Amino acid sequence: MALQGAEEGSHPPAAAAAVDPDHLLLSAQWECGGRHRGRSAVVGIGLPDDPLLEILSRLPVKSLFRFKCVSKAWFGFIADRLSKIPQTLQGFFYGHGHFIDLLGGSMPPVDSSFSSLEKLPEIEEIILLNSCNGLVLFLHRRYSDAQTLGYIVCNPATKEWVAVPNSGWTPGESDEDYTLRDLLAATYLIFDPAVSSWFKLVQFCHDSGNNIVQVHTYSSESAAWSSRAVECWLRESIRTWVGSAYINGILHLTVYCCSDDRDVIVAVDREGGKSRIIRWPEEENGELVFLGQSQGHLHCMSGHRDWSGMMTKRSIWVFEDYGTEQWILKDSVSSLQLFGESSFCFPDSAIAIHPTHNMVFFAHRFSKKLVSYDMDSKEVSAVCTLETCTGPITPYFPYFVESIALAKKH
Amino acid sequence: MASAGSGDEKAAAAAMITLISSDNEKFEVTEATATLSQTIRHMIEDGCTDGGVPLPNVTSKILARVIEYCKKHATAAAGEEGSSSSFSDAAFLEVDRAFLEELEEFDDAFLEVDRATLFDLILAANYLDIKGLLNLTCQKVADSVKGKTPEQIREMYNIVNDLTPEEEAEIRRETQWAFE
Repeated sequence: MALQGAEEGSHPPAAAAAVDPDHLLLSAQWECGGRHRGRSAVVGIGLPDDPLLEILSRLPVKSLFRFKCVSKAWFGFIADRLSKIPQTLQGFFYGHGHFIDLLGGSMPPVDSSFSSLEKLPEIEEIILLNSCNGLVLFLHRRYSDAQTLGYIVCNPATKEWVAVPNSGWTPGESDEDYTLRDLLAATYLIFDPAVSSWFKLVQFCHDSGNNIVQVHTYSSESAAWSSRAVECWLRESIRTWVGSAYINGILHLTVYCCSDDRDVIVAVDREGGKSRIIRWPEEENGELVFLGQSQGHLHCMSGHRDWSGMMTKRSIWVFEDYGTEQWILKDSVSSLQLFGESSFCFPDSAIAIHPTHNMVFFAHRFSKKLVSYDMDSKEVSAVCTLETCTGPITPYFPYFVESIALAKKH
Repeated sequence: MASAGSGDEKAAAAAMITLISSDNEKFEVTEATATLSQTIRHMIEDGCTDGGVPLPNVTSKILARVIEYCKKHATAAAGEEGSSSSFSDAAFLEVDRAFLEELEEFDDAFLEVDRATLFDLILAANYLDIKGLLNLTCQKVADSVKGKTPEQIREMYNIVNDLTPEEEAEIRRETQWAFE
């Protein structure tokens, strides 16, 4: 870099810089001026906190992690900086112990298999469910006590975790199939560090006829479950595979209403109640196939089938305004565009929407290819080939702050 | 330092502000130039700039550089505003691009200073609350440190490592990936 060369060439060697008499004089004057708070003398580069944080905010995450061991003060400043890093999509957890790293090498590596978590004697088997703002939710199964469902909440970035006990709900005696039992309790993690450092779980328990029969919420602050009346959820079920979106403290889910045979989007409050029912566009001629959050707005995707019943096109909609309930069509994309073939029934599924870019990710069930689709440039890019297409795929946004809600380190 | 007299600044020419450095040197600048500093803008709004604005934290050497920056950027801003009405869109874009290129060249040349001066400019930009200058100078420092090792950082800024060997070893173990 030419500029850097000039800077170094025109200045005494590095060690001498700090004893530059002019600079010391100015520093002394600055302190005498008394106008500025907290000169970070301990940090030792001769700048007050504000500009120093300004400089740190311009450094890549990798440099920040490397500079943690410069000194105690730098360690503290960097921890503070890392807590303010905006939500960045690092990649996706999927299947059993897989992770796709989209940022390869510029972010801390993720222990995708959670092997250290599984090695702990108190944990028998964990199954990935979903994630929210950096925390990941697993179902925890104990073979000794197979009737009950416990959970593990983990922060892969800080390697902290906590076990959440069973809510008290047990599936009926006839539901012996493990997989079925997992589906009967649709459980969502709610975590928003901007609002609270505690997390919540909302559990919707279904009977074998797929009707919600119980709703429980768990607060990590009180470390207790509470159940709520289910009147408003009767004859309904959660469409878990459509996904969920957490926006401004509200969890959005897709719910199937048995009585009028249609899907609606439901905004769920932190207590497991319905705060709002949102009609989605194309209810009449499409299928709701995806729900997600991007740039602070609720997004949904509807699928369209051709005359033979094959799904060939997806429309991406954004919920612009909660007041007017207006959906705006953002884009439409076909299976032909994404994978170069016209569609079989559900060969590809939308798995995620980028939280900050106009980008959607699709996975192909047979070839296991993961592609990204840029809604601005209309470009399709191959991301990778997945190891498996079974099980959930959940986006991961690292959160580097140690939490009071998660005590144990693995 | 020069008072404004060019045609571009005729509207603001009437309102001149005197800035006084820590070593008591007086600089006369236009209000348009001075108000790139939010600190001075607030002083003007409060009507307390009569008799000059004392800046006890900024030396004449640094204040001269800061004013040079503000003049250039105030002129560019005024130029853009003025040109929008008299050019067609295409011509306006052309002029706009030329302005931006010229500004970029100016900024690059402006940053060709030693580290002590760069830090003094950051301190002044922070105190005077000049967003553009603060962004520019902080980015320069960030660019110069981002590829460095912790040892190089300590050496560059004469920082004493007060972590115990055990603490440092633990941090290094947890951040090993960042050294690869």
